[in-house]
Amino acid sequence: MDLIQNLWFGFGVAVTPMNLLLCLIGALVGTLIGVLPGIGPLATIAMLLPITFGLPPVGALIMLAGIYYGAQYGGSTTSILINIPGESSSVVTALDGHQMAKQGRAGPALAIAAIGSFIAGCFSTVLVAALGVPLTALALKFGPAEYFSLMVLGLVFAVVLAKGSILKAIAMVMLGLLLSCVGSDIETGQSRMAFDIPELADGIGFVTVAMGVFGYAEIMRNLEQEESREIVEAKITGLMPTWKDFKDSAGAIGRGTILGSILGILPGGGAVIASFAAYTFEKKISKNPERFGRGAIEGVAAPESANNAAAQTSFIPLLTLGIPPNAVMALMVGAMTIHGIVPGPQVMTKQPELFWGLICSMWIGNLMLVVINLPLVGVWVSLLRVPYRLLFPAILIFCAIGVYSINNAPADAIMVAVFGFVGYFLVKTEFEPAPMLLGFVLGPLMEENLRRAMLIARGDPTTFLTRPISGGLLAIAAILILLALLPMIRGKRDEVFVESET
Amino acid sequence: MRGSGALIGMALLAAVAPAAAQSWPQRPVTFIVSQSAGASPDVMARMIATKLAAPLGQQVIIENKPGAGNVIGAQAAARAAPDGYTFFFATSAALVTNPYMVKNLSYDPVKDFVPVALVTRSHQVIVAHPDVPAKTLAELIALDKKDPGKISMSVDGARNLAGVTAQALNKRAGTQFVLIPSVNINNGLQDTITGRTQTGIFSASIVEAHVRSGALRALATASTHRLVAAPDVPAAAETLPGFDFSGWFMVMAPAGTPGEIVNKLNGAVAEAARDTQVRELAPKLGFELDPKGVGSPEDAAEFLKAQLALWARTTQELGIEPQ
Repeated sequence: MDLIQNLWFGFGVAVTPMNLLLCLIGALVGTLIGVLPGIGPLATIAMLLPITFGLPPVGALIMLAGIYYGAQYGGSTTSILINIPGESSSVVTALDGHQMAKQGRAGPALAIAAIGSFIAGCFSTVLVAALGVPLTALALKFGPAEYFSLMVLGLVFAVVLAKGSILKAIAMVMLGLLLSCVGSDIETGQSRMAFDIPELADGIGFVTVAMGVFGYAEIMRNLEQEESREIVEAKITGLMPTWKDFKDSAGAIGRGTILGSILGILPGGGAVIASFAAYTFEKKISKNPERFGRGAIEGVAAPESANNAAAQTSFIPLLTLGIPPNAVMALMVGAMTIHGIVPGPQVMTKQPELFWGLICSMWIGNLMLVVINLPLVGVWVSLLRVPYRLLFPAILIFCAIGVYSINNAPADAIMVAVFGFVGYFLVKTEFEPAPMLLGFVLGPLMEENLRRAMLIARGDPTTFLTRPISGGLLAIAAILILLALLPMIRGKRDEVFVESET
Repeated sequence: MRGSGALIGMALLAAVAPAAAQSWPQRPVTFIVSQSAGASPDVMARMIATKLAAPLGQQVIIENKPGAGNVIGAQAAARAAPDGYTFFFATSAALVTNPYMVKNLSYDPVKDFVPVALVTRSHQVIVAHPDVPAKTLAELIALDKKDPGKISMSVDGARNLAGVTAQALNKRAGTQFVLIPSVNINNGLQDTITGRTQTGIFSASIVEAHVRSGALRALATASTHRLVAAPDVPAAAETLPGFDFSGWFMVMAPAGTPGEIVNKLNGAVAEAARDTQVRELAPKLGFELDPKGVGSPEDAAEFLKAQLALWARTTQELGIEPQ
């Protein structure tokens, strides 16, 4: 009963008027920056950090954590409404979410994203509290070899989730990997495919690519077929999900939560892979997978639950080990150190009010997000009623400002435009951008871990097969590829049957 | 006519310039940081910036211009008008590493800038996994010599600070530690904590907690002196005389900035660095403030010269070519 006692103690810390207010501010700010394209949680937390110097440590961390998961949620809002994923983990949400919006079901899509996120948040909060320490041991077992194999598996997910041709999906993953190679070689610092342009020396930013191939391309396509927008406006039906929607997405939320909780523990790319994995899984077990990519509510519920659960469990390595899994968490470590808290296993014993307070504030933060966002659903949806001739220049301007503000670099704004044309070409030729984006996000991680694993093994490639976790992941990847290819091998018949409905 | 107009203009300018310097600053001052928000120079710059508002009577705005290994920000600062409203919160990488690493560097750290003040230094620590039998740097060197090429060392990148430090260590001590670079240094840190790499070189700020908890053993600081925060960790220079590789931040003005403005800003930075909150927070984040206080612009210039010489020598010894 220690757990309940501890949680009770934590709620005692988190539920003070001051901390509740900080939690609310954090969640609000987070939602806002999540909705504004380009401004990520990292820059926001960095800028707010000096303000938190004056706050008590628990309050400061509660607010920063609020920003972090608020941003995760805000990112999905733009994914659904205007097809612009604000965070890499909401790329998949755009697939079915935006289709739902086009069918006039933006309200249910946004609502189910909020509800799924909340349920996932509740579950993973308990998980962090109950199993934080043993799960850390699992996270530590993941070395470079294991990460590399996990990334391979992630890319296989991207291929399997494609709704069209598998060959085209593989081509897109490869293109994504290739794009991710632009920049500097991680070992020698040698410039690769940057053509001596300093703006390319660090590679291409995720937001630049995502905004271009999803957002700008979508706008161009909409402009091409003027009348379709009017249909969307006319079609907006209920704001809340129907009973059938809830029934359809319940299982997806549950499975997404579990997958997300597990993958979130692994630092770096965990949340992204979680969202792709959850989507793929839903599509695989669905009785009619052809609905996916055409506005299936499970396709929103599963990845949204998964990425939120992952965002939550990614605190585990930070709290128990003091190893920040991503840049946002690294800043949180900075915030902790400033307040004289040394992150690591001793936080739990030496600063129990911080550890349990933070965990409980995660749950409260999720509740706040639902409270903030459910009423906002109506506001967001009414955005779709704005005449398109006003909406699209506004989207373009916000995107341009957003992407410029990341590095204060004009070149980035130009690059988004270039990727817009690329995206338009891809849509026209029926290549799906999602697998490309996953390849692009996972590429650098994959390369780094491959090289690190090889260096540590002193050049012995069997290390990927002989390490049990790594070998297991590769085996799953191989099986998935086989399953995906089977219809092709068996003959074109059933594939044609399934895909001809497009 | 035209000539006399220009003359009058110059005379006016000459008369106005000192007055402008005296009443400086009239509007907010910008510090360019060549890394993204939240990176360690950004954290330090923002901390100092908030404390500069009082002595300057104006806000100091941080403008992040990250990219191309500090080149983009440094270049922007080098080309800024020397009017006392744009400065460069420079990293050691921008000022002394890049000149020897980057071919056709678009700025000159000596000709394009005037040093204002050396703000802080941040030191590195050579650590080992607790299972490694070596308790000191000398023992680690001996361990490698017994069975060369078996010990892995996590670093940031071959051409970054820790990577060059490790190569310099190999060269000076005649060892064959295998460099394992990671883009995200926290991955390297996790490798060393779990023992996948036996050793690593990290900035003091990120390993301090792990050394204290016993997850890592600190063998030496990669500098000439012991850290105030960890007096029982020996300095590498105690084993390898003169061994000193650290990162630091220096405020630089674009060349041509009036000397009075440089001096006035130097005074303000010195005052900000004396602030009790800064004194308390900076060491916790791994930034070492000189207990004697921030030196004069001349001290900063001298330090810069010595560091440039050190990097010229080191890169030459290691055969690192600009690319």
